[in-house]
Amino acid sequence: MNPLQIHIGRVEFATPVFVASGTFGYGQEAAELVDLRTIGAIVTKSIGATPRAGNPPPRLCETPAGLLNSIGLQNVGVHSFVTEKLPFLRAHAGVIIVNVAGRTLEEYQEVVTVLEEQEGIAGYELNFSCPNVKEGGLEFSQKPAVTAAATAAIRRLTQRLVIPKLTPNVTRVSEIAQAAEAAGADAVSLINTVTGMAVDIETWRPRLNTVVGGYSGPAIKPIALAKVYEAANAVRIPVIGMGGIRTWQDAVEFFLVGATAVQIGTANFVDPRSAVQVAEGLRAYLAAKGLGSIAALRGRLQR
Amino acid sequence: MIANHEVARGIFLMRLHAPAIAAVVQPGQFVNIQTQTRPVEQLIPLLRRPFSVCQVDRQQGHFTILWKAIGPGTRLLASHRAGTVLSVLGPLGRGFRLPEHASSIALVAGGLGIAPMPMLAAALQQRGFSFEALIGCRTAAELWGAEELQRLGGRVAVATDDGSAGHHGFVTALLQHWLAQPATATGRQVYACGPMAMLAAVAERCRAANLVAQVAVETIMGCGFGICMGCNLEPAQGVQQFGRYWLACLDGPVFDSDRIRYS
Repeated sequence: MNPLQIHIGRVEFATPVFVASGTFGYGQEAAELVDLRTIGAIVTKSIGATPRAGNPPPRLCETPAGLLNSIGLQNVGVHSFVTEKLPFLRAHAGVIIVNVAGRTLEEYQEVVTVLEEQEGIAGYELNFSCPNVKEGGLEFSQKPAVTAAATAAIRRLTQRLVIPKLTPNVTRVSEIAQAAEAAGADAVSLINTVTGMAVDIETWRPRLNTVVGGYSGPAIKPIALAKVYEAANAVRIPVIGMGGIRTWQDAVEFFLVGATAVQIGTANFVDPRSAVQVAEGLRAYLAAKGLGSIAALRGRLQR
Repeated sequence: MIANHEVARGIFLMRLHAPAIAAVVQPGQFVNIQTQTRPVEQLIPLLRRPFSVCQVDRQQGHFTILWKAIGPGTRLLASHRAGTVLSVLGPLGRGFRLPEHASSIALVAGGLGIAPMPMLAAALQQRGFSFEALIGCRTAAELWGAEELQRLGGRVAVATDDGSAGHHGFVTALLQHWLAQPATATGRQVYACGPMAMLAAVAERCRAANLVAQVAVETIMGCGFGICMGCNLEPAQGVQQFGRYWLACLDGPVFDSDRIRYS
């Protein structure tokens, strides 16, 4: 029995440690550095209906314990994804979850409709929370009714996993998570980046071309934990937690507050094997604690 | 890490033993180094820092990087002594294309842009090609590389911003002078590395001389291998690039000078 094995819907994952969208490309980039099959699931870079250039440079700024970005959903578009990226992923990766982005609900539907023709995809993470695009992005997960309508529309298109990815940039993430659950989501994932900015005091200019960007890395872990805790206490579907996880100890905290799985994001930029190392650490931790399953940790926060 | 010595004011040469990298690295490629040895949960700053490979000794399995303490990441490199084990990812990126024929060759370096030049010069020397090295820096105390490039068979000219060594002014003035000289029958090749403003000037002067230089950019990078998409560069006007942007880590760091915008 594999103590790290989990299920979300009907999908089985060998480990509950995935790589987060936008932090692992389309898998191919890191394949020389890590065996993709040893990662619980690969959540792809966001895919839209058409190719997208993303935002102009500079679009990266490191701050103490964090990273600001304004990549702006640069992606190859769903048709190139199907012909150029998916075959490699299918041949080399385990579970594949495609992150879907759109300016409009129709664009999400279009992408999913195209991908439904393709084998080897376990599910869709719906990027309802990118702070770096002018249209779409955040607005899909800031109002429960909008989240519910968009989730339901995608639910009608597929039997595969539907996983809305939620923003922390709201007052009550639990209401958004409940709306997603009621609309038929199999799970919710959170958090996406936190809105942030940095300023160059010599030039008096913002560090990012877009002025404001998405903040990730260890600095946001306490925020992420609080949001995952809130959401996990509000819904019955699995919560996939992420935000600043670098080590297995970070991951344990997320399981204790109620996560079923976790995703590694910014840490991949430093070490693309992070997800594998976190899973190995979790395995040792479970053994040391005499626990037979990662599920035994879930929501066991003591108060 | 085998050695870490100051070779000019505030500029250090670090020698690393990494046979797998030394065996295959090409001129102009870079490595991404975790500048600290602390455990992962204490990494501040988080990200690795990119460094051009400066010299390589394939037999010994060594290579060097040239570095200067600029920010919190590079400052940490100063504390390392011989024997320190650092995490190094590489070799990364696309390096310089070497010329097919012996042509008139200029290596143009500004500031730390000197870093990839010794390895490039060694490769040129190995092919029996001669070259001229044009080195620019702020002041004589910060000059490194002239002797090294001479030893590799190059003719060296220096420019300093303050006139404390060589030509008083920018290295691009030396390039202008070089471009005014007659080329060999097989043409010219210019290789450049340095700050964006310098590369823009190199590109402009080469364009006026109907040349396309190979320029190595010094761009902020997140991962160094294409997954963060943070090191994007604008393509030059009229250049079609799928997805619109270049990524310095994958498409570069060496670009043909007419392919990028220098903003």
